[in-house]
Amino acid sequence: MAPGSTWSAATANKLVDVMTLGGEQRTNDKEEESDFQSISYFLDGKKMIGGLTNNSFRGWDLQTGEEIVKARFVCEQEVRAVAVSSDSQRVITGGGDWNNLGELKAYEVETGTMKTFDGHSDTVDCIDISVDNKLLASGSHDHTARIWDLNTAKLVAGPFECGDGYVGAVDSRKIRRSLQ
Amino acid sequence: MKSGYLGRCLEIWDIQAQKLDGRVGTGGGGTWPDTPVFWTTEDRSIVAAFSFEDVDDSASHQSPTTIYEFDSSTLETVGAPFEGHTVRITGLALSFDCALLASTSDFDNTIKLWAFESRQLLVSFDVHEPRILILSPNSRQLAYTTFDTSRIHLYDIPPDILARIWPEQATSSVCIFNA
Repeated sequence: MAPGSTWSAATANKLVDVMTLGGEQRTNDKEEESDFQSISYFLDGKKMIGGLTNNSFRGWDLQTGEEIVKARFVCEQEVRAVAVSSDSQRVITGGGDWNNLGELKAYEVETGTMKTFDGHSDTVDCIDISVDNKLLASGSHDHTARIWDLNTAKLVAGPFECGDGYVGAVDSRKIRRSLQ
Repeated sequence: MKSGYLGRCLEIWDIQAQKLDGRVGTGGGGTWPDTPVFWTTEDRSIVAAFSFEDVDDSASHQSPTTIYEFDSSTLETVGAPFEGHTVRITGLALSFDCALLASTSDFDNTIKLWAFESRQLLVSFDVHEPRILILSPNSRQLAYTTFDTSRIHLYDIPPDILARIWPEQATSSVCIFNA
């Protein structure tokens, strides 16, 4: 496409500001310094969670703009990826620190109960939940992608060895059909 | 399932047989952070920001700047690519019905919205260092993060842009208003 023609007309549009979440001032103190590396809406569009570099994830009510205090969790390592199941029952987090084992966990939203998915040997960078909320796909710096049972936290398929790079993205949309 | 990394390699895996079905590119170089990859409706194709060039490490952070649709069987590109970003794409989102594509680049400082079928660039917003973006479940709102602040910004997509993607729904809302 020739960018010129649509460009000038298009730039006249403005995004309509709804709200800004978070916003703590950054400081030189490592403890205070945090970035959102991954964010996710709940399916009803009324809540959101964000995973932070300071080993935590936080949740917001998008109708009030207020943080949901009970949805603030601290993980052991940097949170790189977050996902919410479509039934809004679970929040999944993937992450890790450099030169450390990865971290992959599922939190029950109501009870705060947490499950760990053990297997990856390096940072978990990307996750995706199957449409029926039964399976979880994960990709890692350990060069593998894996499929997990979301209820039992057991490995269902994989590890899939993905060359000598790391897995930066997975999309599980076809999982349910291919495992049936 | 499919996986991609560094905007240089895209793989499709048969989960049941646990074997690689196909691959585009070989990896090497590439960007951080990674952008997501998406199946489109009916799983016929895959959308990803991708670079076919072998780039040495010094320049690899500048790409991929282009988004492609790949046929999920042949892994050949489908239709025209989405061209407009001048530096690496850091965020990518596809609407629930695959009608609207949204992309960000933290170095060219824009968020771009595209009509998926026609590849038309609908709008380009100037935003300071947008990092990742996602669309709301109904795809009427977008949320993005920036590199320099620990904030999440939520914006409604302008009605005129929505009307160009979903004209039928715009018409029906007018009918309700008149009634």
